Amino acid sequence: MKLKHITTSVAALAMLCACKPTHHEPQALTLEVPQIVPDYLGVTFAPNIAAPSFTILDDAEEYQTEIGRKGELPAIIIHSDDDGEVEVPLKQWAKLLEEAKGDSIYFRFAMKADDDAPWLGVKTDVMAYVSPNPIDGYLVYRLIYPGYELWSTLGIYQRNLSNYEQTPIVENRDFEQQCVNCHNFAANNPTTGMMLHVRGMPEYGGTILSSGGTVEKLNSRFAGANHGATYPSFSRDGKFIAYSANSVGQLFHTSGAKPIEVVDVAADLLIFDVDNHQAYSDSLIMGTDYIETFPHWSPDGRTIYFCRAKHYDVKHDNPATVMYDLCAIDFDPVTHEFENLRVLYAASEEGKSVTVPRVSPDGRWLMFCRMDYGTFAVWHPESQLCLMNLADNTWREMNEVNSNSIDSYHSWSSDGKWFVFSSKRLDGNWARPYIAAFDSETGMASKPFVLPQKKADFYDEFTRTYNIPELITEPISNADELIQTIQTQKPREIQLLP
Amino acid sequence: MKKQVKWIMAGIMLVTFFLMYMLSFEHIIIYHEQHHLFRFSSEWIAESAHQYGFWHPWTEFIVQFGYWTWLGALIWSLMFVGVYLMSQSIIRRLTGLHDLIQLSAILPGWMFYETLDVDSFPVNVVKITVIVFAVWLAVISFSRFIPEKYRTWRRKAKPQPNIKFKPKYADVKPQKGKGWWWILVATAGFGGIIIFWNNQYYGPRTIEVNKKPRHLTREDVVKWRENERLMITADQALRRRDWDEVLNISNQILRKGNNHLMAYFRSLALYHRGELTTRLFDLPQTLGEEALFFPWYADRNRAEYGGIVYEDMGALNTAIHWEFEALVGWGETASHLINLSRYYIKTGKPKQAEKFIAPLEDTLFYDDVADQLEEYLEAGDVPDLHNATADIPDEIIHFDNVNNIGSDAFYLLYHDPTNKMALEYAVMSMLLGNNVGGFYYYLKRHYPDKQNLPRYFWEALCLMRMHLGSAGLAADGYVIPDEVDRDFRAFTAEQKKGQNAHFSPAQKQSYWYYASKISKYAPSILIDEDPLSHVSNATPLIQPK
Repeated sequence: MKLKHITTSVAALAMLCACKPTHHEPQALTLEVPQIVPDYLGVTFAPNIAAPSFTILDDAEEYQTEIGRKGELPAIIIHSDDDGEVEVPLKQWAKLLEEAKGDSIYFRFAMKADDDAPWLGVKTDVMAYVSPNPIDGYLVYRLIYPGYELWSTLGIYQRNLSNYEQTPIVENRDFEQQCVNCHNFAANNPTTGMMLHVRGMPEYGGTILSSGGTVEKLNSRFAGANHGATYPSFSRDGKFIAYSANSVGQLFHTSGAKPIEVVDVAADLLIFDVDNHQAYSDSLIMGTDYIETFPHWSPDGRTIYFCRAKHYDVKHDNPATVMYDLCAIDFDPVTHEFENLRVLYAASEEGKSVTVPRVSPDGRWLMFCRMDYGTFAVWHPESQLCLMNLADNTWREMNEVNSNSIDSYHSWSSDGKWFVFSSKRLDGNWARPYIAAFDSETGMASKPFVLPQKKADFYDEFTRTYNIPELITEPISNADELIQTIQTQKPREIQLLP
Repeated sequence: MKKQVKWIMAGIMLVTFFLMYMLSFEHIIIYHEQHHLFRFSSEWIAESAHQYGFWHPWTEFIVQFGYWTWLGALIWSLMFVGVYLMSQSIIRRLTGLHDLIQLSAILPGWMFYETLDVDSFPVNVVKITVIVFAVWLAVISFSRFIPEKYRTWRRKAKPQPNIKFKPKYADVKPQKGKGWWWILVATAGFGGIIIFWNNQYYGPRTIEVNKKPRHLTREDVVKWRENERLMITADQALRRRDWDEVLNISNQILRKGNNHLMAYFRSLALYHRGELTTRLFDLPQTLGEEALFFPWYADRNRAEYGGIVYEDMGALNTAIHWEFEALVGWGETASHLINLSRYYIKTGKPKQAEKFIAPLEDTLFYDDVADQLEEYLEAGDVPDLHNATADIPDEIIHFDNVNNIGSDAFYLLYHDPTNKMALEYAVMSMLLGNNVGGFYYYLKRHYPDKQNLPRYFWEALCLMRMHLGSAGLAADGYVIPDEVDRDFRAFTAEQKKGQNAHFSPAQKQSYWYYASKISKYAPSILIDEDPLSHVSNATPLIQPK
């Protein structure tokens, strides 16, 4: 009996040893660092981010990837076959990041060209930095085909950033394939405030508002407004939502790299008072002289930043001549009065257009997209992220994060130490969420990395685009209530006060 | 003989179902196969089950065999016969009776009927087949585990020859030594039933009772289909580029009445046969310019076909818009994946092409096509495609006119002057728009042979002569043939009779008749030599709902 136990234990130990990857000592060295896709080398990882998976593009029969804390033995050794796919184990990765907070980790590569060839090691370790600052735990986005006018299955999902778990919040399969879009949160917290729009059939359509523990449906077309509420921005205290009310159109490029142009035919700004269920506006931000769009609150809730273009005749003027400036207007949350409208950056004077202004939670920085014309950055390959210092309104292109493809929709983490943005740099057509660390003292960002996935080739095959990535601090827990509201509630009418 | 009846019936059913499919309902099999694509990928199966319900991917699994129509027909027929035989067995084991009145044939008959509608994806048919299979497994397993006392009872109750009704389990013969096998079978059977009852975990979440149908309704193509079979056959002929067949079918349908899809197909067939400028008005063109194209609407059926004309014309950006919209509307089906791959390769976007080739590699019947596309990708070119906008710099911004193909055709022609299809479509859209002046403008610039013109062109020149005079036309090098001139005089003479006019069949097939009687602009004719005077130069906006 005893012998049997010993035999079993030895066998089990042998099996465990067999599972642990053997370390291959390189017999030769190369200076050439392999190319990996997606690129995670030299980036700054959040200590709570899920393990990245990637593919080594250099041709070889076998690959060895070692990952460890700077100056220490590798904590993770991964062997890959000739597909070069490296899938980093989640638990070991989490442990490594926890230990390496505020320090660097290395990626060490070795390859074997064929069975008879020696192991060729890369002489220099490739480093990455592990930030001491965790990122907000969840990312919310819409998954949709990057189509134009039609849509089919789509939904809004939340992703746990510490692992690969993606859970649906609302999916349009639950309400007859209607469109759902424009999710937004107050201070990155769905409990403080959350909203989304449902478009399509009247029985489902409306703005779904979750605030103060209740969920309700509002009529997106406020009585007295010229157009329906479109692009939102929740104030950080959750008391107001600034909307642009847009009349949106689409044009299709017959030639060239851009497939589509999404244009505003007209747009105004409105402020919705969450507690009183009333809306406010002003002739300064509403009317036919200008098109005002993409509002965003300052952290103190007293200023609204937005983009503004001169009104044009869509039937005669070329939409490619429409350019938006970056503006701001002050708002008094008590009297609901607007004043001091000013242009912060007259991009149109430089033959450029700005869109999607987003102020950092500390109020010091404003990130925006800059492109040749128009308002819908996600279809403009020349769109670049820019950063304005609100102390002196100077701005710069964020070359440390930009690519030669579309870099567009961005949002800050709750503490402003991270931001996420949409980039089509992997393939030119599908937006993927990229994450970068941000230093508010210097105004500099780290090299960004794409949202890690379990499968190395995930982004090669996934045919949905990530739309409106927004970081949140806690998961959305009332998904059933949201769906119930969409399915059953009649929208409440909202009056725009004169 | 009683035992043989079910086998005879099964044989008859198999042959009947198979022949019915092949002779009368082949198009249904083709239609479903073309609008669904099963992928051997666990992620895809899980996603499909999540979005559309548990049975959806498995129905697509069956539907994929319609790639070979005979195979699809055979598999559906075998499923029905299988259900029949299992039902026979279930009845026999539960009642101890032979199903001599063939109650077992009712279910397969209904299932066959369920598959005869393109509007209805036969999820229920697959579901029922699996359920019947599970019940059958459960019943035969149950019969193997009959307690001993029952067997004793069965032996005691051995029927007398003159007693018609046997007791339950009369024919069941317990099998020894295979208990493990029957446990497995029983587990599978009950497991199947449990999966069925738990189906709601895969379908949409309905918090309140939501009685509305979940799936998109398929108005659209089907609504247009007075003759569904013919139209699907035309669609298949078009994919094969069999223009004679396309013309033949579209003529058949259009003679019965208006049908936008068939008018559009007919125009394409006429162009590819070299007859667009000589036979278009053989049938009344009541749709006007829209006989040449589909205006852009948020409609997945139009999206499915709207891009063909742009592909053929070399307007690949526009073809991509249509094809991507079709993919969004219909899902990642083979034809959309293949077309998008081709377009993206040709327009120099290999990363995007790869994305659409990858799903084809996971399929049973399209992996060869994926290999072919990979070769194109490697070469950076697609042999049968023309990219008319390849040399237009990015800085030149031009938007499609989604409501009139004419202005897009002019744009292509400007950048690709040898584009014959763009020229013919541009000129014919002018004629269909009663824009004789615009037609004349392009005629002078693009048709150097001023003696050998298509008949419709001479007919349009007769109208232009009313504005320019014979001398004006002659100054530009046009002398209308006597025969055309004589016919024109006869036509105008008839026309002057007003209500009493009786036009001959030949006159009704003339451009004059179209321009004065059928066109929505009739009887006005534009004679300004401005090619776009009748076509709005402004690009209409698409405003999402």
